[in-house]
Amino acid sequence: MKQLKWLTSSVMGLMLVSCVTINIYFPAAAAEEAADRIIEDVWGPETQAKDPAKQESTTSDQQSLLINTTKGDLAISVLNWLVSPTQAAASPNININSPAINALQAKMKARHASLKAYYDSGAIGLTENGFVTIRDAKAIPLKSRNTVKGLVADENKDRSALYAEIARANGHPEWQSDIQSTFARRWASKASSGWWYQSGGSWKQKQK
Amino acid sequence: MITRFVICLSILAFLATAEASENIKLSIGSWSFEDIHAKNLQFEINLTAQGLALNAQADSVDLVAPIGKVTKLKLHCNELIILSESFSCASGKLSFFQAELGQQKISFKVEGEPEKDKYQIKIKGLKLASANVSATAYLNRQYWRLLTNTPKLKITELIKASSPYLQEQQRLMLENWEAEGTIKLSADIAGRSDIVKTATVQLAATSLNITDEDSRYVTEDVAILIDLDAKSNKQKWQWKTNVSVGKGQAYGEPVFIDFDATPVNFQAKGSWQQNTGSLVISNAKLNQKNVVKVTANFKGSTEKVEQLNITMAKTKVTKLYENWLQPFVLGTAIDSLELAGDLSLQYHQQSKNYRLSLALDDMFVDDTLNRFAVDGINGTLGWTNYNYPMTTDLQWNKATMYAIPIGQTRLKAKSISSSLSLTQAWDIPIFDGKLKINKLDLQRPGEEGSKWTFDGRLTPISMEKVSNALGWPLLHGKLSGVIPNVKYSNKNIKVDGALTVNLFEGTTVINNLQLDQPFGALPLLYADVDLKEMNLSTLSKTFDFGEITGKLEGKIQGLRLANWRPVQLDAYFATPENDKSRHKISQQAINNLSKVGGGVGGVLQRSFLRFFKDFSYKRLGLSCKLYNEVCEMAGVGEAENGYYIVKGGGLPPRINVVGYTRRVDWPDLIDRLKAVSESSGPVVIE
Repeated sequence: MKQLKWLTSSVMGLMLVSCVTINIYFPAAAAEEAADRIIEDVWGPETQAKDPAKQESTTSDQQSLLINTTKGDLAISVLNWLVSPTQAAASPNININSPAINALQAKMKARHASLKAYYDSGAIGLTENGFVTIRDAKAIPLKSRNTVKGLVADENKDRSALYAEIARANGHPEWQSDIQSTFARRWASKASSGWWYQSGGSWKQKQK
Repeated sequence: MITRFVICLSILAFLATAEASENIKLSIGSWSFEDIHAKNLQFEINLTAQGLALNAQADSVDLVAPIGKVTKLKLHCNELIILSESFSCASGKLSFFQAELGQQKISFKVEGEPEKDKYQIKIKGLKLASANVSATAYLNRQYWRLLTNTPKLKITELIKASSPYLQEQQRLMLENWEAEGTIKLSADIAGRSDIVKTATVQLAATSLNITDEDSRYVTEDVAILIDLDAKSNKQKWQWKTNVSVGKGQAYGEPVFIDFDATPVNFQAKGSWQQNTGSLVISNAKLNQKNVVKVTANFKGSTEKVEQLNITMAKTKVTKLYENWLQPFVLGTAIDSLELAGDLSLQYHQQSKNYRLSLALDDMFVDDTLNRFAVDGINGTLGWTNYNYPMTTDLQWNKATMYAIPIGQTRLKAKSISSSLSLTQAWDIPIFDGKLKINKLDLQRPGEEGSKWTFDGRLTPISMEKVSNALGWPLLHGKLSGVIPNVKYSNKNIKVDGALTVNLFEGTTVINNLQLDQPFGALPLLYADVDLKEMNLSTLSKTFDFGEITGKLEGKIQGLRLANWRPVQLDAYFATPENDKSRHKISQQAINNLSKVGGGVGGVLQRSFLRFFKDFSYKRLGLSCKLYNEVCEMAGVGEAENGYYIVKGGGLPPRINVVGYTRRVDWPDLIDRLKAVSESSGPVVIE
């Protein structure tokens, strides 16, 4: 009976731990690095170098996570501490090297050659949720309107598939929205000067 | 108003002649006549050789809306002739300033018969939109006619000039649009009192550049010619129009038309009931050169459709798709097609019920991304939301879906209440077998919540053909199965039931087959596979692996293919635990298994074991848990620091093959398997 009790509480504890670790340990820094690698490849070397703000945001993320943990239930903290060696050992990583991700990345890279001019002219911009949209249709010649619309639709399909696939490939389909928002931040951060991105619901232009 | 003014003039002229003086001057500080109020009014009439000369001026005159206040008014008529029943002014000048019309200097000519209330007025030099406009008006009691033929008027200035006369809503709408270009108007309008009875208008717009605020509707350098004939009777207008657009480009989201390459002509006639808003358009003909010809009839109002018939005669589908279909399907699986053949269309709508019939004539559809192609499509496709059916009878000669060849087939179905179902079983040849669809149900395609389901049977397909087409190693056996239910909704295809493949004398069952976005950015395939009773001897021969005898079973759980390549699976293949068959493994197979396990081949040849052709084994097997491009490998049992891939047993000589690498890069493993299957034939041991 005693054994059964112990077993039940252990299982429950483990379930709690697994639940908590998934939520708390979204590898934000690793996701940013992964996003940066993909973005640099898709957009090419012209994208801006890492900005100092990025480092700050990562640190503050970590801090907030720590605060959350310490504020949380004591039992959870203890369990976290108990399992932390394995968690730490398996230092959170985001794998982006799968044939599916590579294929999407290659498609986006090839498409960027066509999209770049429209980023430059401000015709298209980066949305707050990690996609692209037509920002200023007037900047697109009538004849090319539907071509650009098609490119934007295809790009968004690939981006959507990419975010979902990175989450799936890393065994956490539930990370999709976190991956997406990480990418959203990184696309905006690495945008070339003169490009437009949405921030707080309004359009902003990357400063020169 | 002009009438009233002329009456006043007549009175003054009469006064002048009554006095028999050569010069009459009259000054009035303030004068009102009905709705007209004037300040500092001065008249001067002089007797000249040509008749009378009239000069009149006023500091300001308040006229009725929409003209309103007019200042610095000057009227001059050199040849005023007044007879007993008529008067005329052969050469008059009128100048004034009005807020919207600006400073005006108008030449006019007036003839009138006041007794009969009959007048003719010609004006020249009315400044409108920076141009001088001429017009002629005839008045005959309450009947009137106005003729004008303007030069080119600038649209920007025309809008500015007309804005005071527009309603608030119209003005707000215009404020959100930018419009440039010129308009030339030729009009002959006649009426009675304040009712227009007939109008013949020709409007020619050139260099038309219009854009709305969001740039969703744009024209660039468009030239348009509109002819309109209209007449009214008891608030019912009968009209006829001809519109030609022969130059420039236009974009009305999402359609782009290049009028230079594909000029458009639209003709129609009909009626419009002014008080009820009821509209009838009959014999409408739209012709976009080199693209499409459509005829249509309409009955209803601007708010609702009572009856609509559209007919599109046989049309080359290539241009039709580029111009009118592709823009609406961007971002879907059918947005990058190459098409050939002819298409005709008939559409009938009565209130909210409609029937659509498409006739396809030798059509060819090819996806430029090579996902699918259909060749030689002929027949008719019917779709309706009426509760009485329309038939579909469609056939194609051949098709492909990815690498899968699909043969000639004929679909017979009926549509009723926005759904489509088969009227006879549909046989679709796939490779050398058939997908026999017994039941098909298609609902609300293209709409939210659209779905289709079917059930059928797959008659045996040779795996040789499948493996050839898909670039797999040559497999023997047959693929067949009963498909109790296939559902498509939300871009996801789910196959209920099991597909069975008879492979290597055993049975492979594919369960839980699911396809996510099969034509999307990243097609995903999910399945669970069970392999039973496979003959290792046949299998090893097929792959030229080196002979192994015995049975093999296996499971692939949670198989996930992304872009048709495996990215996740949990698989094991092993001889069944209670397998009673003969368990022998050849040297070559041992070598190859070692290679697959990451070892070095040829170990046996270098030892005394090379004298044995084959070895007994108890069990063999390998498992792979693929995740993140890494295969977590295991065998049939744990060995010291490793796992058994082959566990020796039975009569000597026995042999164990132990794998030590637990984590293998998936691409490496695939390369090893390829290397083994592509290596030269069995090593002959002397």
